[in-house]
Amino acid sequence: MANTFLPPAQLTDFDAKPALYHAWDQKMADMFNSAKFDEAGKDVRPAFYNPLNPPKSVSPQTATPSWGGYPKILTELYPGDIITGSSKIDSPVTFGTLDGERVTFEPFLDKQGKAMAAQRYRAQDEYLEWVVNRDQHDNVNEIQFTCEGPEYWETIATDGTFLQQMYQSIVVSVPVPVGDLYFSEPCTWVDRNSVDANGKPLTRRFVVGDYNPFNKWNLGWAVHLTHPANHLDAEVNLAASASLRFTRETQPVRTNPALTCCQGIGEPNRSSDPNIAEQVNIHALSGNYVTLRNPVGLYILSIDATRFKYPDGKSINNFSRYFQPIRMSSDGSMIVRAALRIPAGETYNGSPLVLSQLQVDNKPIVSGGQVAATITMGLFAQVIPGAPSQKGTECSLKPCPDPQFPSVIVPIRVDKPCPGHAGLEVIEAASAVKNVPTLLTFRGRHRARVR
Amino acid sequence: MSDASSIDPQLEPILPVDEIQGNILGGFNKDHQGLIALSFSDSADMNLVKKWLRGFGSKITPLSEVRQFKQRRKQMLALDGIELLDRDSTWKAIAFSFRALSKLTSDANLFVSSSFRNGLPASSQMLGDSTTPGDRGELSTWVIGGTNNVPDILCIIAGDNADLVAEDVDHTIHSAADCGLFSTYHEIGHDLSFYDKNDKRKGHEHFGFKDGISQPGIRGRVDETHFLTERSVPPPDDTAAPTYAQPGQPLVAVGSFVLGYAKQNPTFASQPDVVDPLAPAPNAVAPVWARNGSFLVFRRLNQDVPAFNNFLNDQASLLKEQGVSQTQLGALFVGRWKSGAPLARTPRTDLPKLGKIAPGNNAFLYNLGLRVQDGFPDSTPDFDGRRCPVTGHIRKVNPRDLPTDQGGSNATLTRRILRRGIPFGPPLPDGALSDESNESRGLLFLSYQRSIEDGFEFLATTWMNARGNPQAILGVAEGFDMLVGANGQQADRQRMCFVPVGGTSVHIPSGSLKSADWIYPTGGGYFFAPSIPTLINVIAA
Repeated sequence: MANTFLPPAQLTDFDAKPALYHAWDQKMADMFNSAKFDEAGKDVRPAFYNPLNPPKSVSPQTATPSWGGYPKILTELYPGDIITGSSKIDSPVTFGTLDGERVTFEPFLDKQGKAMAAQRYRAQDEYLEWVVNRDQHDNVNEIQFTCEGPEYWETIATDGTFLQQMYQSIVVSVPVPVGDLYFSEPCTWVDRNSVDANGKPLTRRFVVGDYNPFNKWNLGWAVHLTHPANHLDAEVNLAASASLRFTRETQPVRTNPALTCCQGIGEPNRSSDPNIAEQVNIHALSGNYVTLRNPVGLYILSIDATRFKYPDGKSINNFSRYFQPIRMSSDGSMIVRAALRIPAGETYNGSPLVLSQLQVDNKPIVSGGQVAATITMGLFAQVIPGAPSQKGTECSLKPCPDPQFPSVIVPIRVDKPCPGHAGLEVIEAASAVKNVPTLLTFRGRHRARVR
Repeated sequence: MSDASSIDPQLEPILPVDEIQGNILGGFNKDHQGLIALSFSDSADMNLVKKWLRGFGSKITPLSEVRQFKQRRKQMLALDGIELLDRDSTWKAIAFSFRALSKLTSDANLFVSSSFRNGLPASSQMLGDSTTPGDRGELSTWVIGGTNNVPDILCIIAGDNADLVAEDVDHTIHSAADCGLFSTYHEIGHDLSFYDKNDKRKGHEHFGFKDGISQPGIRGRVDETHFLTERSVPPPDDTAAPTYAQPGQPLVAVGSFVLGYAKQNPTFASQPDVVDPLAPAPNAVAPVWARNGSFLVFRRLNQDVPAFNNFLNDQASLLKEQGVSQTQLGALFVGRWKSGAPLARTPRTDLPKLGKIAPGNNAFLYNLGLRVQDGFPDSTPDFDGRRCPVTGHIRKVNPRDLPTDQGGSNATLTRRILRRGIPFGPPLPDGALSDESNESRGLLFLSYQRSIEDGFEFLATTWMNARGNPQAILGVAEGFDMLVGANGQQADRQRMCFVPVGGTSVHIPSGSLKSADWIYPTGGGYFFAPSIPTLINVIAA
């Protein structure tokens, strides 16, 4: 067993900068500590443990909650129409505007308090993000996928030269100026996924020289995750929070949608978070300790090659020549970056083969979401028997159906009625974006604000 | 009778029981069912074709008739212990391919389902079928629905009298031929008890397992005060939770099976979801006349009984020290004993009496467990699959109250389909290790659903054929559906699973022999089963 936290997928980038191994170990240790203990040092998640410090010396079981890479919310908003759904999220969107998942995040504000158009993210919220590249005819010729947490790249960014080298190894064709990777002017951002000790949304202040995870090279080359809720920190906190025993009016709350909403332990409208939360909760309530396996990460587990065909409908026998894992563990079981592309010069029936000519689910590839829907994502959770029983934690929120989309969840305080058709009660929309129909977002690690 | 008078009409709509085909929501469930595939050429006289369709359409059995008969049968069974049979008539159903509807109507192009439009052959690879020419399961080997052999129409003729069904099948083929419709395939499936008059085989499939036990309850009413599916379980206080008709049988929105109604809500299980719009509404999924119709999937699945039994024997001999029998290993693959008794309730030994009683043989949950108090052991929480393996067929295709890759546990309800299959071919003796007869046998798999992609195809590709879905614990509880699943991703098509044996988990490889695909397709098709008025007034008009 490793005695330090390993980089996701046991990547070996830090071999070039060994000090970063220690920095990563420290970052992850802090993450686990803050997930398990409150500010006074009290263990508030007794069934959750640091994988480097297991409560018992027994071999843990490894559960692998899995989910599809295509955002579930889009299957509710655009049922049966993956191409339209994909078209809403294939390109990055600016903070402060309504995204394809009908969510508005706060805009970044410059030092004058004005919304900045430069900061964008990918509205792809199942811990898998992608970039679609097109040729001069607008045909898809490459799709890059990433599920690398931003925290890893923040660690790399403590060394500007190394960061530039790492970006350059991905952005091969164009020089990447190191200055592009850091904020060049101060700005602030209200992160309503996270709250401070007083329950207020965290205001993040960036100064010149801070790493900018939303830099244009990341957005153009899918270097790491950008969605405000796609964090390793969110993964750790989700697992920790879900290890609690929840109740509502003393009755157990064990299943979704109530479980994920109960204390805001994840985004209930995803495939991923409810599955992870419910699986972790089942293990914890069965008397087990739970944690995430070291190395902690979010991974591409597989892609369903049988859903792809050549332009004439014939099967592709060697799909691995097109879908190429790029950054992964040595055994290939943990993929964090991959690309779908046709090798240069490849022809089919005598003509140059373009990626957009391949079919997925019997339709030509026109978007990244079509391919994301064939990808299975997952994480590795570990379970050790013998955890003490817990007292119940009373839920503060309950799930309500959105009046317009009745399968979409709106978490509401338990003492308030579910919203009717007359008015949807949601987390406050971005202050700079008035009168925008905003579905409640309820992402990331901490409690969301509700009215 | 249940009181359905104060129910949300969106959640429990009053169904036009005289318009919906009886096999969709009622299920013929007859011991003898004939399938007839018909086609017509581009130059066929459409007036004649439509004339025949009007004639056959007038004989389609509506839901009302099926329901009334089943109620009478139930009453008689309860009163006299006599099973009511109707030896004097047959029941009929019909469904059309996309090509046929395109020829027979002006607006079939409003169907957006690409799987339906492209047909089963286009999905064959995705379903894990072999693509190597000539291999078992590959399209060119199919007796119907394969390469250049896709039928336009599928007729189903069912009855309690085998001779009458055969007679009706013959008559139908001849009458169709007179109108320019030629039969490309016909076959009569029989309950296996038909062949040797062995009642022990009744309701069982060729590997010997009782089949068709778990069907979802269907929401909706037949009139103001009566539900289509009767209910014995009170509804939950929390409308986000599933409602059960019987213990272990959740209610699923009728819109999951028939177009034009609110779909099953994947989140708030006892509240209605939206209705898939029909033309001319924006984003319509189908023409307006598709209301009260359903998509029908037909797969002719051959079963290689000796291959399956030999595999079980070989593997069981390797597990002899752990005390695993061939019978038990088969049960672990299925999730039930041959009697139908679920492993979730009796993981170590078969309880044939439990297999026979309904709803007891379906009264179990994997996550929370279920107390039934029917004199048999209860199902207890079994998240890690120590009782019923996570790879067991019935758990793969219906994870019940488990969270899955689709999100929370309620999402599984949206994946339910209505299975209406029947075996074909004569059975071999139980446990047969060889077959001198050279006859083919298997299952005429039929399922109705709102969406082929979200129903049948999802179950096959995302759950049965996937090692890690809907649930996995590495090296302990993961793998393929070893009964029906396929691995089209690898050239050797090898599958594997872990099964719980004596407190540990054992890895079982399928082997890479072609015979390891002991269930493989030899035919099929994707169809749409319209309402009876649509058949008469639109398709045949």
